[in-house]
Amino acid sequence: MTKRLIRLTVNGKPYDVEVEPRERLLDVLRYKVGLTGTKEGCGTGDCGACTVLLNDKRITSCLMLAISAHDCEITTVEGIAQDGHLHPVQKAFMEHGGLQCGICTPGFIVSAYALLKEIPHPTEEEIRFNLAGNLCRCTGYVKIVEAVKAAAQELQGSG
Amino acid sequence: MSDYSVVGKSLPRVDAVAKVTGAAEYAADVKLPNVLYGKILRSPHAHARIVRVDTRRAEQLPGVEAVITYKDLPQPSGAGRPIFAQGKVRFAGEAVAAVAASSPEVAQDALDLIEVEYAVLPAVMDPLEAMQPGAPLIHEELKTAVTVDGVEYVNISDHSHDREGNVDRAFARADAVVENTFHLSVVHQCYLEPHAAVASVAPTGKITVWTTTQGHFWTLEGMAKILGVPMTQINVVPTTIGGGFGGKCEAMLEPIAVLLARRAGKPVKIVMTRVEEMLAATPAPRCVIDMKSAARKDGTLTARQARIIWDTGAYAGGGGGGVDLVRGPYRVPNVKVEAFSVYTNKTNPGAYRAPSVPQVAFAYESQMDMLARELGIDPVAFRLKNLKDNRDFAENGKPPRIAVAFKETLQKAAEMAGWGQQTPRQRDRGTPDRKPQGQPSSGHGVGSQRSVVGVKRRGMGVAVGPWSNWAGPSSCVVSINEDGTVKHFSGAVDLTGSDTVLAQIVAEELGVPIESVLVVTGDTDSAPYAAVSGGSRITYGQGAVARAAAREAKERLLKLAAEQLGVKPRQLDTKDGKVFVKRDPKRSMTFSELGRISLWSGNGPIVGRASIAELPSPPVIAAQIAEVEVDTETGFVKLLRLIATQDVGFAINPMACEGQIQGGAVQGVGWALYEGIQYDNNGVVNRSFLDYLLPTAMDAPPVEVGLVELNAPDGPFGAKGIGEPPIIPTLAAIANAIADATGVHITDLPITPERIVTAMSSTSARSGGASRSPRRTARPTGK
Repeated sequence: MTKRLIRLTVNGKPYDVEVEPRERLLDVLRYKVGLTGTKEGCGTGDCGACTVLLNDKRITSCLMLAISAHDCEITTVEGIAQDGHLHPVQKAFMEHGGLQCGICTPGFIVSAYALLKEIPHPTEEEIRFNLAGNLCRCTGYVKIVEAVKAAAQELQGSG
Repeated sequence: MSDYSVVGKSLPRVDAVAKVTGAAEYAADVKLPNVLYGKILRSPHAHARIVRVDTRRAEQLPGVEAVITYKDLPQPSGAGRPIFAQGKVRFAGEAVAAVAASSPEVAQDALDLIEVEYAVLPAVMDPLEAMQPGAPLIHEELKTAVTVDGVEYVNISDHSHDREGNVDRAFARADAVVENTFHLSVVHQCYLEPHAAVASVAPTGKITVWTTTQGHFWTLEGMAKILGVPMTQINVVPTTIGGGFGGKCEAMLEPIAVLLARRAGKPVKIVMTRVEEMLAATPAPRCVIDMKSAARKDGTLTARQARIIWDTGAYAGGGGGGVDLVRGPYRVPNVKVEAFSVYTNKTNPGAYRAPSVPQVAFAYESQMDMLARELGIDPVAFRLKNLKDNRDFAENGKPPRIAVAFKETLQKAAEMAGWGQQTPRQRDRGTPDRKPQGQPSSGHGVGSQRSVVGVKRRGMGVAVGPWSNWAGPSSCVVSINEDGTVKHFSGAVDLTGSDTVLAQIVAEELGVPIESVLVVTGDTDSAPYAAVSGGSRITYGQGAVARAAAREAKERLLKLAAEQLGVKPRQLDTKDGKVFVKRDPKRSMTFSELGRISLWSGNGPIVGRASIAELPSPPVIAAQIAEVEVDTETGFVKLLRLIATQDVGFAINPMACEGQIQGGAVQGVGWALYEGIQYDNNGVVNRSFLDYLLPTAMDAPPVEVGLVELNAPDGPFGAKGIGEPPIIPTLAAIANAIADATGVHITDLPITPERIVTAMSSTSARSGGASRSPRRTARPTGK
């Protein structure tokens, strides 16, 4: 199958990768860019484990062909911490027990990070609504919601 | 108990940084040079004979490096589920062949080139149909016909009966008897990480497998049997596991990856898709339970009888039916139970969080409410009257070696929920338009928490859940490094946060901060044996050996320090990484100093070891109260809140305990309201999360947790196993709340809006009001 050269900017770094048109962005990020923090839970866009930011918008990378992301800026879970410092969202998930097995965590971190940029002071209802595209099978969501609330407060305090 | 400095604290997980940054390595993330990607060809038919398999075209596709079929299995794999279908497929999704290729896409292309000719056979999906003579036989080669009381059944994988007392006499003398049939769907554990394995075979024949497993020693044992090689020829490396809930206990993908890797001469990675998970993993079994329970006017339970039909799918799997399973946590003098496991053309079931107990508890906890209503007794009071207490476990006149807060756990849930004090509507001050109910209407007895606003009705329901945690074969080594840090080494897989708990136990016992403790899970080549992370056993069993090993290390440390300081070991203690003289704390040595000295003197490096086969397995109890709002026009159920209490013995990490309980309860919410694999004669109909619904953050209620801490005599610091119990009460608590709100008791799961509306309209058409304990309120919509 014909391959195309595409350019992806991932977490601020440019990558030129050869892809087949049928390759999913998720697989290219994981196996060609080498960033395996982004996970696959379902492959049909229902679980949100593969959530990344594409030009600052949340997408499920299992539903996007890599070739469609040519020339786009992508943020994965590996790009949330800056200069070795965890983001307040990451710290809050740790401190409030917002993760257990961790397979959904990268998607939740990216999703919550984006949510707090869009809505800096979300209500509990808004948190639950905006994270409903991310499934978690371990926590029952209670501590995830608590973590996002705490992160919002922390960001408010620091901002 | 507050004297502790590390246990009893809500500390963050030791693996938290790795998990929030994406650095944690799961099986699908394992990177090996020249790795090939494996894919499995699965049967599209639920029941068919394999006439011919032709792999030649697939083998010729560029990029394909290995193709194998069931004929390549080195030996038949015994009575359980084979790795590949053996000449006949028994469920849609059963593995027939596998390929390894240079990319997942090429592997997929190759699957399409494998030609399989099937002779399709009639399939049977419903266990009740499959039992009847004349049904298609799933295993002609086995003797699966049994005759019970003169009636012949076929496709029976297991049949058992058990009894105590005399149920017939008790039913005849009872004041209230309820009898129902309960149907529960197949539900999937839905760990969000699908099965994945990477295999590499060295030129020496040595096999290394990286895999997502709840217990790599079990995986090793299974692989050695299937592949016919000694255990020393296989090293199983457990990767970070993305959820298991019982569904990752057995070797499944690993042998296929090994066979492909052997043939290709390169490592092979196989990652299952979610569709493959829904078709071919090992979900919880469907079951049909006929149950009859009886009580006297004074609220004493007298008898329970059950007939349980477990759908074991194509190969022997789930089931069970002892008297204790149906008796639950209550005193019931007369019990009779009969259980069948029936073969059907489905994937075989496996363990799912407290295997078999949520199903059976759903039945008896529903009937506890029906009986309470019949007798006009409050459902909480009725349960409290019949719950066992510790004296019931006395054997041969000796005091029982258990401490379980059976009643206190339920009482705490009732207190937290405000049970019996006010209606939900009264609490909901934001909605002033309450229409008070005068007298409880039919279907609502004492203890009803019902309220009505327009078409919305609210209600509360209670249920308890019993469990008995396991300790299992456990061993570990605790050693002290030259810099004073500590290593805990074992073969236990961290499924639920147990590495954090083990670090807390070791840190507490030795007197070091938790940051000083490294918890390492070794592979099967290096680590001492640990049983699978299941049965709620790690904190209890591995925790006990961690504490014992830490204690032994401490004794050796104190002995060495005593020699150095010229005192007796008993004059010494440890704190903050130092050994000090109790009467003169200024005289001290650091762990680091002692660690270094130990390398060159005394008895050598400081190592503590511990190993057990088993500990007593005491009962565990959980209780929950659900509060629901039902839209009587649409049947939509909104869960307003869930109160979950549990006797955890001692919460080594309260935050982790709460997280386990909240997560388990929300899995129960899914089981009660949303989840169920539906089958037609071609297999699974709902193959994705789009139509197999899991609770989202929008569906899940706030879960308020109440920890009860009655110390377990044998658990580390008094801890009990906590992982499984919280899913058990949820199913009936929700069903009972819906019954309280609507007057109809749904006995089939999931309780879909359709079932509620159907049940409510059929009862109002029949009697002009809510029915009491309908024998059958809804039929399953699935086939």
